[in-house]
Amino acid sequence: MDVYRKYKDMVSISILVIFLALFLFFPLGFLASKTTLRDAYEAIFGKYSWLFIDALVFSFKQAALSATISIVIGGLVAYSALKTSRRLSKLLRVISFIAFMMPSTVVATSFYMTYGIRGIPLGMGFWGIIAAHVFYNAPLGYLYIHNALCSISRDLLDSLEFYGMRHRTKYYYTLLKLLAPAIVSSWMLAFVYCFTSFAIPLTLGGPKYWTIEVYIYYTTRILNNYGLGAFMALIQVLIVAIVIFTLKKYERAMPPGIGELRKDMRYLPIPVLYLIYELVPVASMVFHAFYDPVSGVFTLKALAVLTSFRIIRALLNTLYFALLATTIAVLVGSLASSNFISLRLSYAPLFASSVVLGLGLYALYSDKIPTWILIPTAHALVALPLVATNIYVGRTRVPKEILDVCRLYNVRGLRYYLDVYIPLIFESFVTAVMFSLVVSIGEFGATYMLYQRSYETLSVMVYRLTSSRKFLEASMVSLLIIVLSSTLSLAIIRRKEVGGSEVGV
Amino acid sequence: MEYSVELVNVSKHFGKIRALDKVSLGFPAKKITTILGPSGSGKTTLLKIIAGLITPDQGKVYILGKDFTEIPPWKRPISMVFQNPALIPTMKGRENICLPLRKCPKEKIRDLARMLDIEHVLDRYPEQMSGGEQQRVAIARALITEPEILLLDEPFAHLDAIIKESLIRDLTKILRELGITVIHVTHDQDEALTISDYLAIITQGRIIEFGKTEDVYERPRTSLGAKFLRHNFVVLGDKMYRFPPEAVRIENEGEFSGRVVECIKKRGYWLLRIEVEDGEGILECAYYKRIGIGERVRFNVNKELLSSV
Repeated sequence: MDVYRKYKDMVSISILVIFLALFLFFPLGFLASKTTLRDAYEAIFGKYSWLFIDALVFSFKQAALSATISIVIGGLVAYSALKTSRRLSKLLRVISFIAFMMPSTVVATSFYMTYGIRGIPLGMGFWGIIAAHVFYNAPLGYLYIHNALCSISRDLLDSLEFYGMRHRTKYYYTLLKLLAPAIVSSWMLAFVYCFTSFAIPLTLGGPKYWTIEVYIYYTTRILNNYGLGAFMALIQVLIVAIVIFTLKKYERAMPPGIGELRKDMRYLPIPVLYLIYELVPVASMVFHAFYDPVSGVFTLKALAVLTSFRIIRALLNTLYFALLATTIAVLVGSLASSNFISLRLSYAPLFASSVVLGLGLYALYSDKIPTWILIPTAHALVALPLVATNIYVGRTRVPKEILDVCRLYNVRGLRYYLDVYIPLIFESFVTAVMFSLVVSIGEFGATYMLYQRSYETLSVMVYRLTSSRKFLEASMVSLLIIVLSSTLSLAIIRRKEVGGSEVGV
Repeated sequence: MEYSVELVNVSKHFGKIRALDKVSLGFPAKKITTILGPSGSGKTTLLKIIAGLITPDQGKVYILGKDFTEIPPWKRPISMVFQNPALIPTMKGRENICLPLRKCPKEKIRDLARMLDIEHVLDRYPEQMSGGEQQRVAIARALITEPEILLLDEPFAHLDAIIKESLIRDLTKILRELGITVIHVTHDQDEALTISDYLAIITQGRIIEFGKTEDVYERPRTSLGAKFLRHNFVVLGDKMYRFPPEAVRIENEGEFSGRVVECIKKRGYWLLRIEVEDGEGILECAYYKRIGIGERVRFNVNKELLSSV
């Protein structure tokens, strides 16, 4: 039995390694081989080195600021919601999850439409980027810190309130210490997301605010300077790797719990403001789908876009890419979830941002593999860590005693899989499928690096419509994506509530 | 004596941890034997080695006289009930009971369900059953194969006191009626004494006591065994003795005297803790009525149960 298992594990790891080597390591290696010391010198000391330095500094600055504001808001809201009402905290959990899974082009467009065209700083420039990042990452902070608060046992909270409330600073200090792993993990994750953010700075930043991602895109796809872009990509991979390795140190498994704090309705305004902040951009998309900001009149003109050839093609492309990406991600993710080593290996795509991933695939395979395979492969790589983790958690949740019972009573082969194993991991499997679908539908960075006009997806279409100032159409397509993405996110969060799993967020 | 299961020189290590150290032990046929030991003493490892779920590093496992050391679990004439009922959550009670069989005779399920009082949960999923009902279904699943040997791995550990008591009573009765060999492991002394015909005590991977339950309880060979069975260790006169609480009788004309330091109400009796005056130490014994703290009492100790340390 053990020999059979070892053999099975080795086959799984081998297939996973081959997949990652072909579509991740070789493309990144190819990028690395394109860059030279001269490129490095050029980037740091050359004529246009200020562009490189500016992009690097700006990426750091906006990522650190966005992550800090997000986690402070997320944490405050999580605490306040639990102090107010359990129902409210549950509702915020759902809203936060949907917001977190929302495609970045849609968020960027909605911030621009809601605030930017009205001249409010929250919708363009530096503060626009920060605000849009906070829209995404405050939910991340909320989900992490809410889970952490819930995992603290009721008895511990009671005793903390009973003894600690006499010295409020001591109480908050102890609570912060208990929440520290969640705060640090969520901050680092938010930092990585903001640091590698592409669609938001591209849409809201303009030429003044370039992040590394935007810089890589311009130097490679517009200026055709692969050496410089590849050097920047390597720097980015290095920084992300350092943050992720540090993040792993702070990771803690959090047991699901109820999380009840003594109720105090004075905290109510905080979650309400958060709710408004998260809902306004979405509601504004509904408004702007029927309101033309240029002529200032309400119109049903944008409905026509839903029947146009372009949107049908984009919808079909999006669904096709999502289905193929999910098939690949689930197949590879199932292999990756067979043991802990291969699971860790499946996290490798996290080190490369989606733009870098797309760039690597484009540089190495654009003339060898058709785009309709490359794009879903890139999506599958982006979704792989989430998919593998969900399946892995489902597999490890099967109680060891049940496996022993099956061995003891000779429940093996097809009967074992059909009657016992598959029904037990089915929920986490479906969750993994949905995660993959929602990630693929919203993916922008890699798609934008790889796509040609006939392979336009809904996400890319939103960006292109916004940048050509077709706001009505952009809002209508955004609305379509919001419906798709929210439906899937709702299904995921519902399953997670039933199964109690907190992975993948 | 006829043995159903015999372990000869069985050892098992998990990395640097020695779970079992050259254990040799025979389990009498058609009797209930309990392996009693603290957490981490190796009792579950021993049970899993008998079940074939763990392979020993060294030694042999004989079942019904044949060497089963290398035989996979499903080819052994054994069933097992785990601490966690380990019911498949996606299967109803009836399907869980039938798990070990390809085809499940309805009458057999009905009889077992009636015997274990679980007829009402046959069409329920595990999450719709109470802890006690789940464990009864797990026992039915173990019994449906009509095993020669039944292994019980702390099956009552997660149950509350009343359910535990009724399940132990019912199960002991059923197992004695069926006349199968039962090997039961627990850390609970009361449970061990209630259920078993034979008792083994295990600590740090070694069997330190084995024999008929009353013999082991009343006259353990080792001081370690006596300590685990919570015997009294006191100095009477100028020598230290060990003896079970049952050896102490409170009598007006008792040979020894002491002062009550604690009197705790238990179900059906009072537990006295007495500070010995004619020696040293505190002993425990049962008494039918309450005695005030600080009161002086005289007592005798049954010499037959007395061992010097």
